[in-house]
Amino acid sequence: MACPDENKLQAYLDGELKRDERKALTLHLQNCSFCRSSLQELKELEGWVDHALTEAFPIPAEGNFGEEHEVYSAWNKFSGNILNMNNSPTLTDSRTSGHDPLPPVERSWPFVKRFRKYITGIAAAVIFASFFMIPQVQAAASDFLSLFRVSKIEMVKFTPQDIQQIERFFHSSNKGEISIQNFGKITIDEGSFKEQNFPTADDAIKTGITLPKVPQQYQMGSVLLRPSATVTMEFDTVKANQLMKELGSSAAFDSSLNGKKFTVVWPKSTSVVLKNPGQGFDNMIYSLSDSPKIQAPSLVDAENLRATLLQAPFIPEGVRSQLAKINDWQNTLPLPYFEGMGNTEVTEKITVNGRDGLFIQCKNQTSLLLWENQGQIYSLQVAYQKDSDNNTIKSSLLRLANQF
Amino acid sequence: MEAAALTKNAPGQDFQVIFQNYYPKVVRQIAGFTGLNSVAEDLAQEVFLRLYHLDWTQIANLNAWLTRSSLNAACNYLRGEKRRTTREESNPDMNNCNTETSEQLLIREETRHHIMNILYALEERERHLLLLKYQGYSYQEIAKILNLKPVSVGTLLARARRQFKLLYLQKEE
Repeated sequence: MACPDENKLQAYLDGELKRDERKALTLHLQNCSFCRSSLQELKELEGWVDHALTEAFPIPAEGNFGEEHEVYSAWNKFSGNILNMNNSPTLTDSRTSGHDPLPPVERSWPFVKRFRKYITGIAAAVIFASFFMIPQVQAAASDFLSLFRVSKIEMVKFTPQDIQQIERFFHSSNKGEISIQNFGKITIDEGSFKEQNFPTADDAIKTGITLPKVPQQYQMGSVLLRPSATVTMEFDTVKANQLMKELGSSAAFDSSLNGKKFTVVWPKSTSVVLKNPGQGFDNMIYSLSDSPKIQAPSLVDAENLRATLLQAPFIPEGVRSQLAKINDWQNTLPLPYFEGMGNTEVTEKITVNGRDGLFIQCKNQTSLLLWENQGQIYSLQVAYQKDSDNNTIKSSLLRLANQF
Repeated sequence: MEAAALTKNAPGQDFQVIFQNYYPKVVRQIAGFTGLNSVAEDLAQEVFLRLYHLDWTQIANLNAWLTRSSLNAACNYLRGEKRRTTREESNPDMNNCNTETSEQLLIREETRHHIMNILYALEERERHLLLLKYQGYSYQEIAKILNLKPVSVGTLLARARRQFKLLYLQKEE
């Protein structure tokens, strides 16, 4: 038996595996110290979190609910409240649940579900597009891979209308499901280790991890190590051209691309918590990683490819023009940004330490500053108060970024 | 005239069916966190009030909606309770009890407040995942309530726990 993934280990721990799966895994655990230690880590994590939650919540009440008369009197109370409310509408404001609302109406659940798939598809398409924004760096070395490092960041905005348009497109076509897989084979390799979390910087150093340099005045907290990920796309021009044709596009990919491999490597990243960074923040998460690398066969007629791809009929006009506008596309990483969706509230392109960067404000009350310098991607993340002003957070982060 | 208006405004039979079907479950879910039956009952009333004012026939999975609402109602209440406790303590008239006890109470409330803040720094889905698991829900049930694939629950759970721990450690003084 091969080593199980974390999902399976967690399920094992929670007694969620089927009998035979459980047996097989038990056997495997006897022989595999790596999995045993992974399991131990999960177990400790569970214990830790459950302990914390026990502190937050009082001991659950013992009680017998659901007696018929109780439900009935509750209903009477409820319908009485409704009637009162109809007569005096101001009562609706008397709810005590505070500012954080109950979940919004999710009449669109099935829609959201579909939608998520497309978002993944779109994100993939943007990454895919970046494959084709690769120049023939050295025409002479045609048999070698061309390699470049991203040195610029550009935001590509998808509005809700863009998403709708893409969705409509996929729906109206007879093809049923069209995905990025129609262009070729995509494989994702998540690297040799899972995320590693160390409670202190010393713990991380003890296991031989090199931590990024941090300005002297900072005290380091916990460390999170994320593995690298490699996305490889093996291009299938026959399939792709057939699809483009069916979609009503006259553009076609050059057959010399068939079977060629394009790779994007997202290097591993290290995040360190920095205590009391100043500017009114208690903590700041500092992350550092190498720039993503893109490898491609150098025979590519990059301009032609890019033009062909941009003509793909499912790319909304607004997105197309943004992609087309990126001049230095050979060195630019297009980052997809979904307006008004997901966790992001504000994304803005700004200059950080004289370099390209992004300021991102998330709905979970954290803000992120991300920039590139000398082949490395830096990011600083802080939690902010609910009523903080956007510009204040941004300028505070920029001042902090100065030190790195 | 008055009677006619009342009849017109009373909640319909279809809503009554839903109420009677789910009310005990909602109270149980909330009580699992708040630990107080009368509070849980009041909060359950609010959850249903909220549901009533929505276009509830359009909600695809009512059980899931109610479960998530119950979690939120309970957590909102506990967050608000902390604020109330602090207010009472700063009021000298209320401060006639044993000082050590009130200090211990304050520490406990601080801890709870801290943990609630961490929970709220997580994404809603992660928060719900942690809370549902903590309440002993099965993967199958969690997947239904949060609209996830059952096979991904283990991974997401481990991830949410790591995130929780990381944030907790980060925000510790």
